[in-house]
Amino acid sequence: MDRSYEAEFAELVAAKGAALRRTAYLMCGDWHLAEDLVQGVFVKIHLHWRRIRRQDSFDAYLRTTLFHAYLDTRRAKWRRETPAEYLPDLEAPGTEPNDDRDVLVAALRRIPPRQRAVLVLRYWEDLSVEETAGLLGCAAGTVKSQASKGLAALRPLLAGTVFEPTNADC
Amino acid sequence: MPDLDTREDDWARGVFDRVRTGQDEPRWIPDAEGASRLSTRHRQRRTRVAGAVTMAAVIGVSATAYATLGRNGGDNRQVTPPAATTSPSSSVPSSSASATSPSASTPSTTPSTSPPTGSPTTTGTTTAKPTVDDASLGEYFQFTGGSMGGSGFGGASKGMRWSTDGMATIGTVWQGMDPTLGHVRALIANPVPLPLGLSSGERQLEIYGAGYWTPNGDITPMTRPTQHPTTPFGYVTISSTSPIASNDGKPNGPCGIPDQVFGRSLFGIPTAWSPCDTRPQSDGSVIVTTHAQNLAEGTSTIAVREFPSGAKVMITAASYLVYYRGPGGLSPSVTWTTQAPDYVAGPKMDSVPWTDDSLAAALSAPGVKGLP
Repeated sequence: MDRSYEAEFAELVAAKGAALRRTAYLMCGDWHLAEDLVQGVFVKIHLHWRRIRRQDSFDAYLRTTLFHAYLDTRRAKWRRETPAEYLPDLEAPGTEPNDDRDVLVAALRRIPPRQRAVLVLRYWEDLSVEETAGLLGCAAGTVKSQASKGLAALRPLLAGTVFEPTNADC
Repeated sequence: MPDLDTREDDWARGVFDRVRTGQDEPRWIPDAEGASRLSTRHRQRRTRVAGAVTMAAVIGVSATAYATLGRNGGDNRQVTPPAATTSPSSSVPSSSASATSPSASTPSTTPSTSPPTGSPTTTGTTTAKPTVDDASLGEYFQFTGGSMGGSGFGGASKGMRWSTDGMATIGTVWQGMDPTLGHVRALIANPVPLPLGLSSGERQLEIYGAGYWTPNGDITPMTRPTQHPTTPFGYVTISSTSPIASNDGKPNGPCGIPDQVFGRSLFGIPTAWSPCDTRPQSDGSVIVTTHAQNLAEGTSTIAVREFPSGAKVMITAASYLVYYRGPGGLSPSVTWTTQAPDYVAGPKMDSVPWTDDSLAAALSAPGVKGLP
């Protein structure tokens, strides 16, 4: 790969790295894993840079690759562990989330991974239902139902927080 | 008054917008050089493997020719298509080595040095069989998968290892579908060689390989932004699921086939399916095939072999490719349906190279085994 390619690639990494990591963090809830995921995405992108860089749908490629990387890690965990619906609280005592984002991420971590991914893609990445369906390789109806279930699960988890104040808080 | 869905959407957007800030994030600088180094290492390793495979193929063919031993009766660790009948459409390099180097035949990896796709091969004296070892299958299919009990993160993530027997099955099925190995290509290939061999106590639960059926091994037309695709592509998946994973999907696809493989909905197309054709096998497994009827986009065919243990090996094959219409043009999708807005089918393949029978035959090969 020649210097111009490398420079172009470095520019991409600099431009997209932070945003991709933020998306990955919302999906996985762990900054270190998010960094690993994003770094893995960049390795893969570099490997096929000549071909991929020509695509107009480049951002979609990044998201798709990131999503699959996330799903891969998530899926293996899910296989080995308890289904997500029954996950115990993840925070150890004394490590309460201390800002809005942490509150949201802590709640997201307690809903099933595919619903979480749909929520992140729909409301964080601002993708349409159809774009999300394309990325996930499923029907638009599936995205809608996953989003609906995800939001239904998310609301009670955010009850009493800044996102969903209880009546007494209002 | 806004309806419930709109209110839920608005609430969710408000929630996510509130955290749309980079404040208090741990500092991190993505490592472009590191990614480049690792990628280069993958590429070099792939080249070395390709060279070794080429050498092994030449030696193997020569030995076979002299000893007239006939077909390779191996252990299905290698996919070996018929010799000498190398299709002009395949991207077999015309080098003196003559055996196919997997990486060389894939435009993605060495686009500037690959021979022109579709160029005729040499008609020289030795026509080695294009051979792909299972560790190189990642050049042709994009794999995802899951395992448990070991290092096992799935897909192409670091640490993922793959079942040797599972990949041998994928390779055997592919050989049955695509004897010249000249058609199926991945748009985003896995780094190869795939790390084969599970660690102690690890169990492969699922392997899902997705590839595009190209007319001649050339996938580059798919990578060019276009509004009007003219090259007909198909979409093929080969998956192998263990008894545990096979119980995952709801069996509400045609013929009681689970409706999802690796979380991807396969049957989201509103169509009628042909009657289920069931073929019992001597080992107690059963092969079931069906195909979509009257589908405007093309054909969709499904064949699944279910073993007594519950493990399944499945092929899905569509004679068309669905594109997603984004702002910059059409990009390949991995869905079968064109019902949603912005999804359009590309041109369908004029001649569909598979049938229910041929897919069943590919699944019935002795080398096809279910994951334990």
